[in-house]
Amino acid sequence: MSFTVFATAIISAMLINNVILMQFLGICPFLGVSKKSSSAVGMSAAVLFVMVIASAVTYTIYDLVLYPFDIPYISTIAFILVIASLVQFVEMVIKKFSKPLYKSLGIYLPLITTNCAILGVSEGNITGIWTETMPYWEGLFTAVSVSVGTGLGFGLIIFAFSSIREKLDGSNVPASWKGVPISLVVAGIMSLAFLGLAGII
Amino acid sequence: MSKKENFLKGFLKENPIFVFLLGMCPALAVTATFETSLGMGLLVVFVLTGSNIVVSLVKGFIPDQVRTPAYIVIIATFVTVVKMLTFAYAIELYDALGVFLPLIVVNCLILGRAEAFASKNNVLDSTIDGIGMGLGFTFALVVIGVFREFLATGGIQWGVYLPFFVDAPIHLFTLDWIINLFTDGFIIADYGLAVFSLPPGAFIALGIILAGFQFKKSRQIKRELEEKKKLIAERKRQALEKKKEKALAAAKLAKAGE
Amino acid sequence: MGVLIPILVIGGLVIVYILSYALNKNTPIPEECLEIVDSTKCESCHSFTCTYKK
Repeated sequence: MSFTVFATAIISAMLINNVILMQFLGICPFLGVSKKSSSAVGMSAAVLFVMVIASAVTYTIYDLVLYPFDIPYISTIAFILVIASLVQFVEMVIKKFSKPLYKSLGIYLPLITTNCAILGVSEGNITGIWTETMPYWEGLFTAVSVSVGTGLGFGLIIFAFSSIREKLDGSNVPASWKGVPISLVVAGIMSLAFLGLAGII
Repeated sequence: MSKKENFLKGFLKENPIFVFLLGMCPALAVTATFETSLGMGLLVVFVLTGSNIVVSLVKGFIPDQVRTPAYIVIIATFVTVVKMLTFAYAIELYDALGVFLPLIVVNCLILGRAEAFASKNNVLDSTIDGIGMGLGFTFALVVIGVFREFLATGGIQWGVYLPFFVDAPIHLFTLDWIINLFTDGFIIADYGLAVFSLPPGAFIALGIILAGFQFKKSRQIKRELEEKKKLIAERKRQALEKKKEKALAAAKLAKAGE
Repeated sequence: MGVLIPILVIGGLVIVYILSYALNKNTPIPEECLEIVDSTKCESCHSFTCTYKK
């Protein structure tokens, strides 16, 4: 549990293995929600929030319940149920106790219940970080750091893309490329740029 | 809707990826080669058909409030079955698909079909819908996969991830032999656009294919509009002629009356 | 006995999900936020668990 682990996890998850551009998780909100910069920020804050909680909870469940009882094969069912109920629960709590928080990020929570990015990070934590010998706290710390980095990377791309989107709307795009095709090509060029960051660590 | 229409609608008219943009995550992530896209597509066919059958079987028993968790459990069960089968029989495919294998659970296509079709129709129709839609999804994935693998390596391989029917990986199709008619020792893979097998290529390839679809659609709409315009012009002309004739006849009548 | 544990775990998680779903359904949206909720409709995601669609 050290700062190096944290920093490495954040940089690699945020820039090198960017969740949208390199791992293709969370394409739906990327193409759908990111039209206004303000909603892009709210959305990515909500994703970051839920992602951190979800990966901590799923890692704990896997390490302390599923593995000791020798039932790791139900991890997919367990994780999707945990994430779905977690989102509902968090939405309820925010709705009840904090109106400003609900205004800024609570309204995006129902949209991310089945967001592949969150389940993807939880599954990736198990295949990538978890090992039989790793102490619980160390693994949990790494998993949480990775999920923080992933959430930040998601926010970075969604926000950058929403700004590009605003510019794209005013430019003269050929009729058959309007909408999703040109967005995908723009994303491809962004991804090409992020490919160049592969040598940082 | 007839059974045949129900089966065929998933391929072009209601294609999940090209028309509805459902399930974009796997469409970008697992289509680096023809084989992985075919494998993913067939797994989705299995999960979609299974979940459609079970959902349409139990639709009478599940109260409306707990529908959502029930569907999640049904779909996740089938995904777990598929995961174990792939692990047992095609370990290379299992490694290549990685995290996208369990992520079939959140594929919007499967959830959407369970909700929109299987929960309202009988078992037979739901089965046909599941197979048809799944094959439409497979078709779209394979189109993207072939496009990307061909541009990246100049050929299509079989046997690396799906080790069935052959002992060693073979080339289903390659451009090498055409060029080797004129020269020796040419390997087209050295000249491939490697970027198409990397993440950026996925976005660009899908963008190009979707643009092609939009182009076709916009031309069709244009043609229909032109035909409509022609029809309207023709009708106008006919009406005008009729009016002229009437006026002429009236004038003749008036002349005769004098 | 070994078969019982996964069934118990899944059953428990389903119950947790249903409970949190019901709790969330019964908590009303704060009145000032009703307008913003309408303006955040997502267009490409067809997630069927999205509670805004209905």
